[in-house]
Amino acid sequence: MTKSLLRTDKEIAELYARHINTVYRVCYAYMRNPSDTEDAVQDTFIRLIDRAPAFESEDHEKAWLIRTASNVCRNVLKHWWRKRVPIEQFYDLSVEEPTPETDVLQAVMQLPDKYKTAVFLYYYEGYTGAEIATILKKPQSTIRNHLHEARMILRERLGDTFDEEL
Amino acid sequence: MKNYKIIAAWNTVDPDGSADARMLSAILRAHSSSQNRKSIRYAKIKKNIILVAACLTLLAIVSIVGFHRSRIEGNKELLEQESEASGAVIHEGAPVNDTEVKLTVPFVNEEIDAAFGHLFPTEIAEGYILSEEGIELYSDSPDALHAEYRTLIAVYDIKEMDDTLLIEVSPSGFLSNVAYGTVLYGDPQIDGTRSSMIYYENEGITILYRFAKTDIAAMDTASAKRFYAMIRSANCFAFNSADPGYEGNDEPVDRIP
Repeated sequence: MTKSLLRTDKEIAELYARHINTVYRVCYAYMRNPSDTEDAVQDTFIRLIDRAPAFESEDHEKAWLIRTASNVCRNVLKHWWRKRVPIEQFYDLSVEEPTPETDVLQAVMQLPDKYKTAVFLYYYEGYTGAEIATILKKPQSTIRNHLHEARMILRERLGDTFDEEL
Repeated sequence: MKNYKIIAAWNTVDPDGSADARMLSAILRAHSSSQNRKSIRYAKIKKNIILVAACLTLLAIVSIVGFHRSRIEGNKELLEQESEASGAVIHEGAPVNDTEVKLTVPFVNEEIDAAFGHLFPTEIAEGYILSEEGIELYSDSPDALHAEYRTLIAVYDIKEMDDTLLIEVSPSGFLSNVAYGTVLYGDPQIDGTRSSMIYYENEGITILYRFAKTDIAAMDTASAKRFYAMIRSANCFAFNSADPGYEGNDEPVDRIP
């Protein structure tokens, strides 16, 4: 585990390899196209380089990256030129072809932004509601509510195909 | 809780190989430039720290020199005040601990000894040798002491008595309006002490003894013995019955009347 504040290129590359998939998916959940996702991923790792935080463990490192990626994406989406058109319309007007998505992924991606990260962290990364609340620095009740709302929407959209398994 | 359909759906979201390489190289480039920026920043900080440290050192040196000078000035002022009180002027380079004065003190003693005999205390432990401006204090000739309006002043720091004794040698007539052998007192000081003095004359020379705070008339027995032994040792003065403390046998008196 890297605790040093000054990382070498090798350490950065290793850290990138450890977390790229998670960071990419969090960013994709917001950006929904590969180009913007790439930019957001780069910005996330560059923040890590600039701020050089010291991590206690790999879990801490991962949580920091998820939260930072989420903040980076929200900042991009909040930017004025993004605000000129509704986000949904923006996606539709995108010149780039979006990544082909399965019905399930499409249904997840169409969830409001605030639900998507929680769904990804809960269902894919396996975090608990409490852990997600810690990572995203939101109240646990809010996360529970987001997950509940997301489940309702997904059930409505996917019908019987959205089955939860223990 | 897991939902395998969601997991499978998310698994399809991955950066492809070229995107992966692009992102990693962009991140490493940013890392490299960040390190450069940081090293430049550290260099600047280091430079500033060195500059500040140099300034502080300079300031400290100036302060120390200034403090030292002010102490010397303070000492001079003290001497000036003391000499003004006794009508004398500080002789340049007066501190006994200075090389120049150390060399000349024994010579001054010789001069005093030649004219007046052995003076108490026998050694000048601490203190200053002062002189009237223009006096040839270190002259080979004792005639210098007889020159009109010239005064030789020696100040002794007497540790045993926690006091300062000033001995002033001057031409006769300097204190002509006061009967010699009379104890005279200075004005009371802020701390309640006052100086006391007594003088004797002979063959055109006056010798005056002044304590900064000891009352000559109320001196303890041991000190009075030593004090009058010293006065008598100035062999150009002949004691007579009119002198206070003189008992006619040249032995030390126990107390001044």
